[in-house]
Amino acid sequence: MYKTWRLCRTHTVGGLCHDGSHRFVSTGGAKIGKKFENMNQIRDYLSRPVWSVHEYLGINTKEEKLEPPSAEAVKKLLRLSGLPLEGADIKEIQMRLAKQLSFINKLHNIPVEGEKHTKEYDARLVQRNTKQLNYTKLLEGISHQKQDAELGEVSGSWKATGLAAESKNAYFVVKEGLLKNRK
Amino acid sequence: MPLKRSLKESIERLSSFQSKYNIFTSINPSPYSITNKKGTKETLTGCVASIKDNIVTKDFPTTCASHILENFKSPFDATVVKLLKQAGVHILGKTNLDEFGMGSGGVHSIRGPVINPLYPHEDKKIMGGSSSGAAASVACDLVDFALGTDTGGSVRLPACYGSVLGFKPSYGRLSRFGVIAYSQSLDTVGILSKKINVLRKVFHTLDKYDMKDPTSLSVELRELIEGNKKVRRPLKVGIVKEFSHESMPIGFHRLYLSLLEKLINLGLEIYPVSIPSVKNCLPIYYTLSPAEAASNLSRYDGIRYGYRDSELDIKDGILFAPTRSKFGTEVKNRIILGNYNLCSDAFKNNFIKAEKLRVNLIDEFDGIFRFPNVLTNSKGNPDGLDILIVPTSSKLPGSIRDFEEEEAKSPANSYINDVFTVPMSLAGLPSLSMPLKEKTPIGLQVVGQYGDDSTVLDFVESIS
Repeated sequence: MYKTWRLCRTHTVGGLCHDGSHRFVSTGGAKIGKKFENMNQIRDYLSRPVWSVHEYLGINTKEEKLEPPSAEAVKKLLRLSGLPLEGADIKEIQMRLAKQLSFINKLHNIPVEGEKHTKEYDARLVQRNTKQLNYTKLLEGISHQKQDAELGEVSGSWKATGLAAESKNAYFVVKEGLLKNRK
Repeated sequence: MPLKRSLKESIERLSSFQSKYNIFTSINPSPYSITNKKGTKETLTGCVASIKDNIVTKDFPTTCASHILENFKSPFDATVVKLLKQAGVHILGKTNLDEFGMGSGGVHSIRGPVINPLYPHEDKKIMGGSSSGAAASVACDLVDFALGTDTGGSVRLPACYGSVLGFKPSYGRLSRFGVIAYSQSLDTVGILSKKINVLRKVFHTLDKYDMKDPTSLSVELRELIEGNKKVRRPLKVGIVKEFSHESMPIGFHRLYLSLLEKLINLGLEIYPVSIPSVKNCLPIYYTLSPAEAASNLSRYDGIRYGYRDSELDIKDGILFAPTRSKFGTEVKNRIILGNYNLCSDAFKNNFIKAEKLRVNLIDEFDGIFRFPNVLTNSKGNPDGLDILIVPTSSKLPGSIRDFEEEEAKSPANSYINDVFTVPMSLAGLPSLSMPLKEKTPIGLQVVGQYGDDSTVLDFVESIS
């Protein structure tokens, strides 16, 4: 029922491989089927769900085995996150992380299509294959920069410490403990 | 039907709706009254709008519904706010949300949950999140339109639950300068309204390159998209196999089939389509978005702005922990998960794998659309589709109590709410959730190829 289209990075990155006669090579991936001719075909198609998100993610199933990260690992994560240890319910965080990880660890078993040619940085939603900047071009770019009111760069228009809860003589204040007694 | 409502009327009704549904975090005591001198056909002069409280405004506070930014007032307006003010829009207030946009129920706010106004006489039901207040402000007819933000469905899900239109444009179309970052590779400003003509005008007003936003779609690429536009007749619509789930809200299929019949009668062609990567989207999303959130929220130390602990900057040897303890529970959970995904033990296994699978998803979408993708250089599939139609939610809005209980059992229970919306966020596609029936929280998303926002808007207008 489905036509299939090969994604071809040799001709057009992320695009379709075109053989010049408006026909595409079939290898899997996304597929478009034949046009529905009537509502009965559509009803039939919609009456057959193909998967259950609960089953796929192993939620509410007996097979779900949770392996919580250790208490030490949780404490390390709290430190990395700038969150206090005092008052933190370590066991609760362990269990919660275990459930979150059982959910996202599904990734391990999913094969990447065309792994060799797939670049993780193409996941960014910006133009692919832009021209590379080099040191000279960077310097050239900087040399043309000037103060721009459109960017809010207006001299004297803004007091840097104006939004700080504590400041002194136009400096930000960090308390003494910040520099001492650090682990 | 008039485009603009009376500002006086909105202000009069606001207080009773606010006390019932907890829609706003702050209300503008003197809404703007600016005349648009240009008087173009896109003018929004006199329209009333609300702004989600994670978009900065210099005239009243921006809190992200968090203790961390309580009383914070930005020294500047976000670009989208500036453009609305220039267009003569009255801004009624800032709307409630899940703290920093993290949540799908609209319940994680220091101001308390937003209550769904579609159920005035029943047990309090969720509005959906995170743009919960934005959707409620539109559903209550307090505003002509609302600005929200959509990271994984945060405009579309509450729009569905409030039975209003919710549009997430292509990533990069609307400026994010002044939008407080949650997950920068996904965050998009979105528009909610009851009327497609209003939504379209707002979109055209805001759809501009902004040099202040490094991810703003360039002028060159916008011109390329315009150049790619051709009349496509008949319009080809796809129904995605992977979005066909066993559990759908009661009444969904009847309304869905009725719409499909209407499309056939209008001469549109309908095709089955399979996009296998759609199944992988929730694990991809919940690997990437908390990692980006952990990075973005590391800036809140209390030194330069926002809340600061009055006694200490360090506790247990952890910098800024006394201040950062004021984050809400859901935000803390996502920061911890994000840092786990980013730490050296897990980095290669989780983060990069998720990025590569995201590329697979984008490429699969490219494979089924007729319109080219200017970001990936896909030339478009000449036999491809123009529009996909996808359900917005697999559930009806439940009670706030049930939602909180389910979420406490496992965070995955609330993550599942995003199953129909996250794929388009990961691929940056324009997606508009429209109600299938008036005052009914059942919606359908109309999805186009990257950059093809106008086809999505035209399609919805043609069937409204």
